[in-house]
Amino acid sequence: MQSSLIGIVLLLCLISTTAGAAAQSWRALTPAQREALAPLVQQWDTLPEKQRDRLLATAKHYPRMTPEQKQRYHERLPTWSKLPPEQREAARKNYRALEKMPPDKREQVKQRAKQEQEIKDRQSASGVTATPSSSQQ
Amino acid sequence: MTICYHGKTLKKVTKLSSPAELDLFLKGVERRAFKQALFAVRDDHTALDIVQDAMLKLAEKYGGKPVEELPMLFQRILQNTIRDHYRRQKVRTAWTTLFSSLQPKHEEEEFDPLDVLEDSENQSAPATPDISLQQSQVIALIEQALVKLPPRQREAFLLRYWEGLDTTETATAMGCTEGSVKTHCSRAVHALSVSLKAKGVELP
Amino acid sequence: MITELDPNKIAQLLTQSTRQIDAATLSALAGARRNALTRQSVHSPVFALTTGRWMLSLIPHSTQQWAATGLLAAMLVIGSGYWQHAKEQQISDLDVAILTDELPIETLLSDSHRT
Repeated sequence: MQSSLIGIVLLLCLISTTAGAAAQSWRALTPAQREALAPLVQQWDTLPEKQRDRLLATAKHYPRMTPEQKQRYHERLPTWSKLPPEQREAARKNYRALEKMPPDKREQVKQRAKQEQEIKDRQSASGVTATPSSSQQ
Repeated sequence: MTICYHGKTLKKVTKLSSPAELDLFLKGVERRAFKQALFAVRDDHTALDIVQDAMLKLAEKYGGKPVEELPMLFQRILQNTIRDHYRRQKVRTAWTTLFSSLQPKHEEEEFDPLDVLEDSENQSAPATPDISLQQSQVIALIEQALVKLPPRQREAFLLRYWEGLDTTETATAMGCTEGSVKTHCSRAVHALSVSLKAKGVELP
Repeated sequence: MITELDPNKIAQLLTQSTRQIDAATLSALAGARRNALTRQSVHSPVFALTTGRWMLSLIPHSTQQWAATGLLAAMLVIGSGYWQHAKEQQISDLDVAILTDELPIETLLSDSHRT
């Protein structure tokens, strides 16, 4: 009797693991998940299921991120989720390639990228577009 | 896709840390670990060796532990590795003679000269590039003050307030009682306050 | 009696100073981290371990023969599910890294890093 019950449970679980979970609407998320994915509250229900699954998988790590990591994660979620899938794939490919580089070259690339980003941020903050900001003397 | 758990019949299975979780954790902690080691040994190269050592030990011995335990485990390894190097650095004869003249009243477990031995050598803090000039000056003063703290006080302070471990975790990481942790912490805060106020540092 | 400084403010400033660490040190730290990861003691993904133990804890010994055949069938189905799961986990692990790394995402979207 117990064995047949176990059999049914087993079967159901197999079905659920291979078939994929039911679509997770925002209302169905736990508070922890909502905290992690907060920047996406508006568009969550419009996202395809696979994308939501992947985002939920990343959200699992949120509680243990450092404050800085949490900040970056939140900043980037909207941009990331709006990207077309091919762009996300390209980003993953580029990131993998970056990881394969020797450490010093990788660090060079990172520093240069951060500098460029800082320049862009400063320009957009001060309202300047293409022209470099004049020296403040 | 979720793995279904039939709640009633199952025992809870502890999850082991995946490589991604270990990676994420180490990424978050490596800079602070480097700084902690630097405050103790005051040499970049040695500090890097220490952090590298600690990361290896964590991955090899505890890489499979649940990710919640990693912070405390890593800190314990890091503190032990720092202490090993630190003790090797210090001239042992110097503090054994100091031992007899110091004799403070230590209520808790066995007396450790490292508890009270302050380091008053003049060490310049590592140069910081331009955040705000004032901020970098304050930071330099804080770091100098930290370097001068007795090791156990510095450890307790950094673990509690910088790493965010609670008293129990800090006690486990330092290998002492929770009471000792609280004592070390309050002494550290007091010593830092005195030293920084004397240099005119006010924290808004 | 002096008023004590707030340890959390001190900690915040210390965190600021970690942002000023030089690139050579950062790259050495990253190297140490990658090295440590290659030596991580347990590599078996969570999926296999939890599912395996879960099933074993359910099946009574007295019906072991029945269990063996049923288990085999289950294993085959789970095998394919596992494979998909492992691939998905790899992708989401990568996503977490991308979303939390210091490196701005914009760099990964343009091809600037290839120069």
